[in-house]
Amino acid sequence: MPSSYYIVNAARLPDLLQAWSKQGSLLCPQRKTDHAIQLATYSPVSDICPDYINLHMSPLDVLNGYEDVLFHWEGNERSYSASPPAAADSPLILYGVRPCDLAALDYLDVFYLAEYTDINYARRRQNLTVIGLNCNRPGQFCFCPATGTGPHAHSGFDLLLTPDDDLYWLECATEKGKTLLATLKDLLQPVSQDALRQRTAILEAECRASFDYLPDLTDIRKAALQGFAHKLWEEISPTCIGCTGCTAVCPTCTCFQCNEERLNATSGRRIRIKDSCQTEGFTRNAGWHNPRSKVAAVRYRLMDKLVYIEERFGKKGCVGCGRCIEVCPAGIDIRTIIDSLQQDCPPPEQCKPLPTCMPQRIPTQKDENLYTPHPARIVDISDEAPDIRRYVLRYTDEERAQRFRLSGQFFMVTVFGVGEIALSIPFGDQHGGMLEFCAKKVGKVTSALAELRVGDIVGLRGPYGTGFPYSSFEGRDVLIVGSGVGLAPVRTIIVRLLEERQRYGRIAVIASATRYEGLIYKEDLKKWGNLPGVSVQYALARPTDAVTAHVGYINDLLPQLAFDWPNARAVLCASPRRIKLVARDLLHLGMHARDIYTSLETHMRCGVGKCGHCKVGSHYMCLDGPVFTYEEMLQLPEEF
Amino acid sequence: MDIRHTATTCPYCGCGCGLTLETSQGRILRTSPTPHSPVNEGRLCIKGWNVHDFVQHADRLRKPLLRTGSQWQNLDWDNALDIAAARLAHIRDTYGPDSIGVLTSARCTNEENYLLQKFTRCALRTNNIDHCARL
Amino acid sequence: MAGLATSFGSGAMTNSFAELAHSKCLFVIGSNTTVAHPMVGMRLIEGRRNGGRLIVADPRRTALAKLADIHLRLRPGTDVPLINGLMHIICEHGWQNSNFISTRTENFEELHDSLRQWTPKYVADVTGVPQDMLLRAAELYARSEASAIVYCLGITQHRCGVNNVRSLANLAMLCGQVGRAYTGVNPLRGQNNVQGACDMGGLPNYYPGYQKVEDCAARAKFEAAWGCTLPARNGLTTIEMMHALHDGHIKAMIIMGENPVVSDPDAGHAAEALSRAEFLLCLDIFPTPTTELAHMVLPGASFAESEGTFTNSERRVQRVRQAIPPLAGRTNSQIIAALSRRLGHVMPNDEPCDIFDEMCALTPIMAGMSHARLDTQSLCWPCPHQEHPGTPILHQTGFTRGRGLFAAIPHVPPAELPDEEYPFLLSTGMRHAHYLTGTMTRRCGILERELPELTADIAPADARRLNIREGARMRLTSRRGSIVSRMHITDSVPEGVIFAPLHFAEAMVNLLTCPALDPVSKTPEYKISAIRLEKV
Repeated sequence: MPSSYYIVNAARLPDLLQAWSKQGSLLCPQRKTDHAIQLATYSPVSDICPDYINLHMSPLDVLNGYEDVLFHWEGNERSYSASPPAAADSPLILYGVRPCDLAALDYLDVFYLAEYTDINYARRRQNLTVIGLNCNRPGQFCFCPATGTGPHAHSGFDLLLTPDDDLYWLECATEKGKTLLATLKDLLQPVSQDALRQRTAILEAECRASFDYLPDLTDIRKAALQGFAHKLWEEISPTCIGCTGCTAVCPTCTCFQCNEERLNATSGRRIRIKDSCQTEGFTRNAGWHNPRSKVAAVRYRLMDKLVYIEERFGKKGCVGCGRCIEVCPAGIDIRTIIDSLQQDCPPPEQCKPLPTCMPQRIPTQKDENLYTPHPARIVDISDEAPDIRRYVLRYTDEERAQRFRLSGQFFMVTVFGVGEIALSIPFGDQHGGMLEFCAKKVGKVTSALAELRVGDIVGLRGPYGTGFPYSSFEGRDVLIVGSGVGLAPVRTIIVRLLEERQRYGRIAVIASATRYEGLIYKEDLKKWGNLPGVSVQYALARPTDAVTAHVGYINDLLPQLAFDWPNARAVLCASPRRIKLVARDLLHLGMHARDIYTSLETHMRCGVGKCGHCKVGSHYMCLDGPVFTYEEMLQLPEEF
Repeated sequence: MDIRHTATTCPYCGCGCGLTLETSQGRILRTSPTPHSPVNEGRLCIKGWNVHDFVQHADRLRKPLLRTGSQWQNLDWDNALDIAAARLAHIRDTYGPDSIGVLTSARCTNEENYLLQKFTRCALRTNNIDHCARL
Repeated sequence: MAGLATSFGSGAMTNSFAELAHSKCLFVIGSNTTVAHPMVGMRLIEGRRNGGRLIVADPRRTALAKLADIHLRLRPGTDVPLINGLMHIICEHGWQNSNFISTRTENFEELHDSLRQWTPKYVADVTGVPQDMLLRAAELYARSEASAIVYCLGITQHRCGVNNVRSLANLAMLCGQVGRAYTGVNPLRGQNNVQGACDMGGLPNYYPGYQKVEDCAARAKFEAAWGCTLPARNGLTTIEMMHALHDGHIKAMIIMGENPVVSDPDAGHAAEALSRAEFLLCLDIFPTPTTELAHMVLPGASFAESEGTFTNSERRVQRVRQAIPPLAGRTNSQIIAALSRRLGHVMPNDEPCDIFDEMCALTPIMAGMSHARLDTQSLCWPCPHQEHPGTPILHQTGFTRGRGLFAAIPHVPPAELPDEEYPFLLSTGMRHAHYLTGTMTRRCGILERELPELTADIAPADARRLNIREGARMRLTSRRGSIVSRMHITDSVPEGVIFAPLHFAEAMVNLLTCPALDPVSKTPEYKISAIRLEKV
């Protein structure tokens, strides 16, 4: 649609708002009794504030939802049904969105609508009309010219107003915008595109000249990555009181936490609320291990805004709105951090090589049931090890049970009313509708799972994640190492390899644990060990009488395997520390880092790349992984 | 979508930060700092940012409760206040006013504190009123 | 409160938060400010950014201590020796403010004589703080143009809490660092409206505005205003009420929005006492261990459902406004008024703005306030008339009591120190994500996830010695009780000290703490008790 251009008398703005308020729920900035300017529902008596700088909170939060319902469930242990929330959202008009926030909206669209389309966002976005408002003076903390996102907007709006003394220049860019103007022709005076462009260019230049502090973002990716170990991170992190204000106000912050709400004994819902990477609980796992230190958490937010978001999505992660500076009790200022990083960026000859492993975005998939689990019945439970149980599940929907084809690497398993966790897939393609999982009792959900009995219902979403590239294993020797519960993803591989045994070379399995009793799949391991061309060995910290086992490290067992190492493939499922120790020896033996695979199942929560918990650098473990080559793993920041 | 704002004061520590509750249809959606508060000047701590979460928690008490043996019985307000007043009057009149003690709250408003101490002194007729400020 | 009131005549914070950002020297003692009072912590950090020097006295290496210019890592319970030692050094070097002492204070000789024994060497021995640090801190505090003292429960929650506070008052008066902008002695209140509860006469010996119950004129005034005769004798304090319940002298308790079963020192005793009540009436927004013992529980309205005011640590009266209607249908004021009516005393006002006006008319320090005025700006009391701008800085021309009162303060060691059987010193306090007994914060999703269970800090050397790994669970046992806690290994606690927060009803740290009380303020010694650790 060709754009159209007008001028409007500023005194007629109330008439425009009045008219728009009839076409949908109109939110606009208003001055409140405490002098604060807030985005609130329009009413004819509202104190509309045309000349504010920027809202303290992002207006785009209406798109994220506040307490956003992901699904409802009804039932009891024996019969649950879950359904996505009804689409009841009505048209919403946002008036006065500043260019920085329009740039943020541009990113949110790319983030939410692509890959796994976020159904809730998509619905609200469809119903939203955006009326942008260009800036003619900067706020105290604004630096949008540095990020290239302001002070004037050039896209991302339906309508755009530029204030100019007693008139507004008005640009209409979309059909939605046109609809809003349809009945207002009397108030609008058409102008030429040139007239508008000429005048707004002057206004923009004037505004641009009035910023007194702009950090230099040229090649910030290089400076930030070179400054990953900069001393400033150690200096600022103790001042951070963990208030989470920076993430609460940031228009490009999208991370969420899921909360289970029980409505009564037989129904409930899962809602999501905004989460913050500045909390410890964001990355700490049920076993109390936290891969991100305080310093790493403070650094992560800034690296995400300056580097990671742009690496993955090609959009600005920081839009220069300055809200995080204004809201920080400790005075942590992204502008001065940028300055320090730029200043201390080493000359090119001293730069460390930058990571080359960039995430590949997956094709867009739209599923109305994205966040709604499908009920599955527990058909068998067996104890694998102390605190570790094996559950055999089958979808209650017979058609789904039959139709189901295996891909991916893990499922999201829901205990209704309690929560959801990611569990690896430990079965192959020929599962006959029976899905097997192993879970160790550690946290809230796994403890609730341990209480369930045969016949009870859980919910499944998935499978998600990328699996192992089996075709690249063909004709090669394969080493598989698993320690503790790490054997669960390993089992998939073994089962898959054994389903087509003839395609591969020798297969060696090393199972490791503190003591033999702590291993899962003990019977499977024995069975596999008896197959021709398959060797199963144990590396235990404590001796055992149950099997012949090596008491010591996994590494001790490697040389005697006498593999064709340069052509071999290896899969390592263990703690990152153990992975590194084993991989180092494998490299010595002649393997290539790209042929060693690991599964980094780090605090995945939503499974579909939206909640943000499993993001490491620009990679989402749940989308881009959890399977990574060792070569890729070494390029990730050590926060998994 | 019908969004309104109420500027109020944080119920946690002694800082007394200004915060704004954003509501829609009688539900609080989120909390943000009040920009012009002389105390916090537009900032908050993590407790403040999340303050609305407890207000609407499912555990909130919604009906007067009377213990009957080991059970709790739901009462309507008038009935509950009648029973409470009768029990208190009985104890006051049997054992004397100083047989009743009142703990007022460092969490409640000045108005509620004023009213409760007045109630204690005028209706119960004792000065046995204190709060847990020391704790 | 009792300590400052004796020295200055008023127990409240002498200056305002915003001033702290402009002090030349900030002396923070017994306050983990960035955690317990984050927005005051923000001012301290801002003050440091503005070039102010920061002295932190704390046995723990808190986040604030890490930012300090001088961290006085004193042994727990040696605050009085530390302050006396600083004053000794100040007097030795002639850094005291003689003009202030002679014109504004009295009884200086008593203090001066008492300081003689507190030589730097002796103080270093007692507190564990090196002599050169004592000297630097003393000089910085005394000679800075404007020095402010900030303290919190780390000072008051000792059996010598009042002594600790009076020591700090001595120090401020000695150097004339009070009664001016950016100076003062500033206690941070633990709860949002402690100041207000006291101001409103929620005390057994005071009517609103610190008018004494035992003062006949004051009583006559309130009798006239309220239209009834009032009891003439002071009532009982919280702790005394618990004892009276236990002994059967008190038969009924009304508890509004408090949780003594968890918050009381020697928590087991409080539960026992309350379970002896003939009638226990609780008004609360959530079920708590205290409401569990009640005969009747009335559902209260939260702050978000109430109109009114809170008074913060800096005596600033601020508006509380209703965002949503009361979930249980009635405001707390309506409940109290309805109960009063049934007990034969009809209250004319149950609307918050009218109640406030009634109160202001009877309370000289707040006579100039009204909801209408507070709607446009918050005000610090004293605010005696409607044109008065409020008083952010107290004691500018004279102390509330006239002259500031010096006193010799002896050292009273903690009631219970570690021994062979209970070798660790337990100190209690707060974590950044939770608040007091956790009834509110533990029902906030993000906060509960941040710290879902009791986690106690232990020094790395102790953890190594006892073979404790990060996150392991251990049993903490004192002479009074026993609880299980996860352990967090951190060098923020010194060797031999365990720090545990008090937020967890299922693992109540107050089951362990020592019931010793300050003889004047009756504040319990939460900061020091002896415990041992065992594997679970």
